[in-house]
Amino acid sequence: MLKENIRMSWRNIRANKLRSFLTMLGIIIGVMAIVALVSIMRGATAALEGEIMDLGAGRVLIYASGNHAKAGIDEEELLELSAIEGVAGVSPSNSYTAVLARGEDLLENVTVKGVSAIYFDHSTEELLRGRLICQSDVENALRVCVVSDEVEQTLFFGEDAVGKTLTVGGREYTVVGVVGDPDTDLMSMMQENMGRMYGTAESGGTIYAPYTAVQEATALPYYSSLDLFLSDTSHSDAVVAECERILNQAFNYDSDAYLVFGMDSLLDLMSDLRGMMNGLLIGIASISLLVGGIGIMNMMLVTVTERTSEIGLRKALGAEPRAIQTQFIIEALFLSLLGGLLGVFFGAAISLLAAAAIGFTAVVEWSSVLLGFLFAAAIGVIFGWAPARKASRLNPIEALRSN
Amino acid sequence: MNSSTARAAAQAPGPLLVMQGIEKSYAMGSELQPVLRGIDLTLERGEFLSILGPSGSGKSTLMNIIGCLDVPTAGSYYLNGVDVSGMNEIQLSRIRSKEIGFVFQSFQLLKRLDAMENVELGLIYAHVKPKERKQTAEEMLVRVGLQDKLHHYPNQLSGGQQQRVAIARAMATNPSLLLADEPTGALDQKTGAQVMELFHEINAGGRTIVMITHDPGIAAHAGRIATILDGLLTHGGAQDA
Ligand SMILES: Nc1ncnc2c1ncn2[C@@H]1O[C@H](COP(=O)(O)OP(=O)(O)OP(=O)(O)O)[C@@H](O)[C@H]1O
Ligand SMILES: [Mg+2]
Repeated sequence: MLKENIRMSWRNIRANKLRSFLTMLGIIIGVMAIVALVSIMRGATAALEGEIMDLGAGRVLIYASGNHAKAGIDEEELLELSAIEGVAGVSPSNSYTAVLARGEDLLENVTVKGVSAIYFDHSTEELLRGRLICQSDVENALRVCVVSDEVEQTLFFGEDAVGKTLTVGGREYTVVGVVGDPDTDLMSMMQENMGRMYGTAESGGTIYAPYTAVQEATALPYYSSLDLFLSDTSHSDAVVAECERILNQAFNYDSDAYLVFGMDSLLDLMSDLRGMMNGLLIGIASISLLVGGIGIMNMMLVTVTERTSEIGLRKALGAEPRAIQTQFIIEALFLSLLGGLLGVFFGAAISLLAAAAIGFTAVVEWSSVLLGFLFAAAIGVIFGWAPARKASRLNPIEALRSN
Repeated sequence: MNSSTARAAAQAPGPLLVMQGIEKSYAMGSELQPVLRGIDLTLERGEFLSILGPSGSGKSTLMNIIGCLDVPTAGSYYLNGVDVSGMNEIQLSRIRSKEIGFVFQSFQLLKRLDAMENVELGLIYAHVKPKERKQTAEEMLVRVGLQDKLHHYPNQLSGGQQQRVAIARAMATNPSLLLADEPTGALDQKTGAQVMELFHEINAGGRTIVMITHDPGIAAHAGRIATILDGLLTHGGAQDA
């Protein structure tokens, strides 16, 4: 009888193509949302996580906003932090905003980044000409700088800046190199945001100078942020723990005064984010599927009314109420599963297109396909049940008379 | 063993149908309106009975009770030796599947099913296997003279042909009783006569038939005529068809 029910459902759906399609639309959209969003999200987070692994693996970020007793990380702690096992080097990034001058020409709102030699080993700025900041520059607090090509463009009007001098806050610096803009990767985005949160303004351009020279210029004995570069990426947990121990002591157990950010906490953040997105997604999909279910229920009620005399006839021919109910539930199920199938198809297509457009590998997950199908099936049965029951309870005499 | 021998084995002794004091009333507001007021009817196996009566006399009401679509308010009804007067919905549907073949005035074919599939419907609910089902359906359609219309849809058939499909469907489950309510009501005189001829053939094959009509000319085809008036049945004698 199942086969006949399925054949019958198929014919009724085919006989009312447009109506059936519109009815399925809610389910199609719901399942499409589940499949497409899950796979896009998986693909995107996988790409992001890959990037975090690439960039963050060798790094631990420390931000110290300080408290009233202590404004930031001092030289002593800097030494202590660099001495942690597994730390290859530390680059304090004590940036500030300054006005650059070259003769008459001024350039405002430039970020001056104090760095150590190791900084460039791990960042993505590409050296275009000249050289980078080296160890002896730092040790001797030399007034040299590396400028971004943005600064070179605006202040040197396309001339080669290497070897020329410029003035930062009244002090003369010699340009030793030009670098391209860093990639806007997750890490630098975070760094910029953190920097903003902790008081540095967004800048029109960037120059890099030995942190020792910058410190001399700002006359601040404290650092507000540090980049720790690791020699062994597999120990970032231990390094983070050690940093926290040191800073906890330094800030007298005031854990609000500093923030240590390792790759692991980034990955944790990602998984939190993913959990949140999943919840949101299921919410959206549920609402859409609920709407789809109501659509199916509506269509089934119309169908039952339209086919009252058919129901009467089937009963006269010996169909038990249960057989009638089964027939209409199967019809609702058929409708919702067909919607689910189309939803999976469109969802997969959309995620592949999106992946191609955005540039990551889309992973159409079987679990989300299955979830979509199960949802659709449940909707079919739940929302098909009441109309089917109504059909099964029709009085055959009255049903036969309707025509 | 096929379904027809199974059913023949289940045949009880005695008359096919025995009704005594059947009453049926409908609630009209607070009052009960009696439609059938004590019907007695006995039907032997192989009989062809016409129930004749004017419009509104209660013919369809009686047919619904005979066909186990409805139960009487009072009285007893034995069909094939089984008391069906107090049965519930599920029991009644099983009796219908087994014992009754319906033919309606308006044919009641499903428009999305072809002739074969329409004839198969009753067999599906009798849980007959697909292969046997198709074989029986084809046999029945051949018997009503529609061997070259097996896969025609109702809208591709004339009224007379549609009624033949409906008769084939009613016969397919090999019921004890063929029950027809105004089977020629929607047909012209010539096709109506052809359908009546088919009824004769079926009855000659041993099938018991009850036909309801308001047309004395049609009723005359039966072997016996009973007239219903004011909720009571008056029996005419057996006549030559
Ligand atoms: N469900 C019902 N509720 C109330 N009254 C009903 C119901 N069904 C039938 N009746 C009444 O019972 C009487 C007999 O109806 P029935 O349909 O049996 O007549 P009939 O002999 O078949 O007439 P026709 O030849 O026009 O088909 C009518 O007066 C009708 O109004
Ligand atoms: Mg009637």
